[in-house]
Amino acid sequence: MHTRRLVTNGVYLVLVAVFLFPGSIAAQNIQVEILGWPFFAFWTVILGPMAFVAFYLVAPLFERRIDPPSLTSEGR
Amino acid sequence: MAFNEILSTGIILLYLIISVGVGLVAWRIQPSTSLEDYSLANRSIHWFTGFFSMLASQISALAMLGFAAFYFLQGMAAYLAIVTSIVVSVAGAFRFIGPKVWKIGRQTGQVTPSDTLREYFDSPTLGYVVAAGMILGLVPYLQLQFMGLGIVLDLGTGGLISQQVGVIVIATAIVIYTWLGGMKSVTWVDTMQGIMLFLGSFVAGLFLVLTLGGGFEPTFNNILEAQPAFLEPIAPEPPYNNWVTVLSFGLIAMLGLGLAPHMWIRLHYFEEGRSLERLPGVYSLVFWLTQVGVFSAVLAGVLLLPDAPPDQYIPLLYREYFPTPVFALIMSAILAAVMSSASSMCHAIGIIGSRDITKQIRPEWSEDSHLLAARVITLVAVVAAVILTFLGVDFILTSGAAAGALIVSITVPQLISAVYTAEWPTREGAVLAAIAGGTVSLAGTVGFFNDPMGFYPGTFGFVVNVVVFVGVSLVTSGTPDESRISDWRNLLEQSYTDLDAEYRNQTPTEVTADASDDD
Repeated sequence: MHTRRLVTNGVYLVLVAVFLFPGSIAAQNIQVEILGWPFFAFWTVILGPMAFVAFYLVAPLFERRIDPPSLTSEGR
Repeated sequence: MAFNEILSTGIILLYLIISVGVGLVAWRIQPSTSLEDYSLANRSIHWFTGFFSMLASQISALAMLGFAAFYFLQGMAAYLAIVTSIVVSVAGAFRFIGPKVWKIGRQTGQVTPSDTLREYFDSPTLGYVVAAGMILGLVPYLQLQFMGLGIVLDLGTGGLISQQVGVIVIATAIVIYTWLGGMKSVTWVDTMQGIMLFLGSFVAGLFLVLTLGGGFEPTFNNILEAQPAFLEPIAPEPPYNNWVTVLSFGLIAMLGLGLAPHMWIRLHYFEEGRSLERLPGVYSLVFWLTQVGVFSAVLAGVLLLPDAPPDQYIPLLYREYFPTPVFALIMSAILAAVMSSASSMCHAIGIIGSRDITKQIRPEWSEDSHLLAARVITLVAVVAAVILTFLGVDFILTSGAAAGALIVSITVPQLISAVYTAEWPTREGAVLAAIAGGTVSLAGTVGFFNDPMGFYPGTFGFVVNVVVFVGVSLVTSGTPDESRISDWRNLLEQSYTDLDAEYRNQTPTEVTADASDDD
């Protein structure tokens, strides 16, 4: 079993929960009630999607040992 | 601002001529000589052009006009549903199945979803059912692109080019470069159009929110004061006032658009397997920024043009607040989005029709005959979509989401089980589930029933597909052949490096011959 793939898939599931229900409601409550910041869609509009983009870009690098690149095809 | 119709029309026509010119240059440099070349450009697409072609194919009339209408009507709940579809659902699907699809296709010659399912379940019937369902889903999806083209041209030229004339002119242009150049021409034109539409939507949207709204925070505050419900993650009024509806729309219906045949085919066309690893990140980044631009434009103008027709809101806003040359360039970018999707869908319908139907029925035909069949089917699909456009559908989002829900309801559970080489499903389960899911999805879309749980109409077919697929598989015996499962698992274990090297040692002719032998 590929341990690294299990870790990244787990991170994906955590991100889904944090970005969707109940994450977006919690983020709205934190921003409005605790931080007192009316621009309360910051998490939904910007931070949440950015977290996914970062995950998709970094996860393959973390998993790379599963499918080791060779000197002949990398860097072209 | 004063609008100059003639200047705007001239800029848009110039853009159209350049688009067709790029497609023709691609054809002249390397004409398509086989169905494999026409379908996938011999699986030799560079990651850069590949990414932008995928984005341009995905970002369509729906993304530029339909989603804007959705944001305009439902506010933050709509944005949450769309961004969910992009970063969670479609990009997630690319992450979890994209590399597997590429690896299997590289070695077996598969191109379409029907190829994968027909081969894994050893069922020609399943291949025909899925091919028919894909075409049934793609033609209305194509029709809404032509509707979008008509709207953009009508507003962009101030009525100098009517919707009807515009649709016919652009459909002709698309047929010319798709007929001649196949995937290579489509990809070249898509790349140019993808860059244009990204800049057009993102930059223009941010510019509007900064100039008209005075920045994001003042814009939000103004809306919060005038229309607080607009910024609620779950809308206070139906239909998007519960999580089941928002998530079934975002996660299921939109997944169908991400895995529609014109996108699935593109998972196979990359020259290098590593491109599939980069795809989810780049795709979600660029698509998300594009929608940030569209959503920003809606935020900036929702209080300024409250009575605008939802589908025409974005063009009307730009025409009102930008000088004519800038407006015409943005309209050209939107036109780019719509044209690239339309040409990709035409191309995909031609490939499905030839590979999954005529080639299965008439395997003895020559390669030239199959290539001609693909081109003729493309032409027939365009004519059908244009006729449907002239008959008219009210709202772009409705038919787009319905097409996505139908595609998901017919294929997704079966495709996932195939690329993950599941041992338990049977061909009887796969066929019956595809038929049941598709039928229920169509019934929900046309309003035969309302799901009491709140599923977005059409996506209930996906639930039915899963239930029938599992249930029938448990009581039938036609499981995939053990040797096929073993072969596919071995294929999936191979590294990209080995596959890249193996493929490069074959000439395109050898690859085509191998693919034909498989059939």
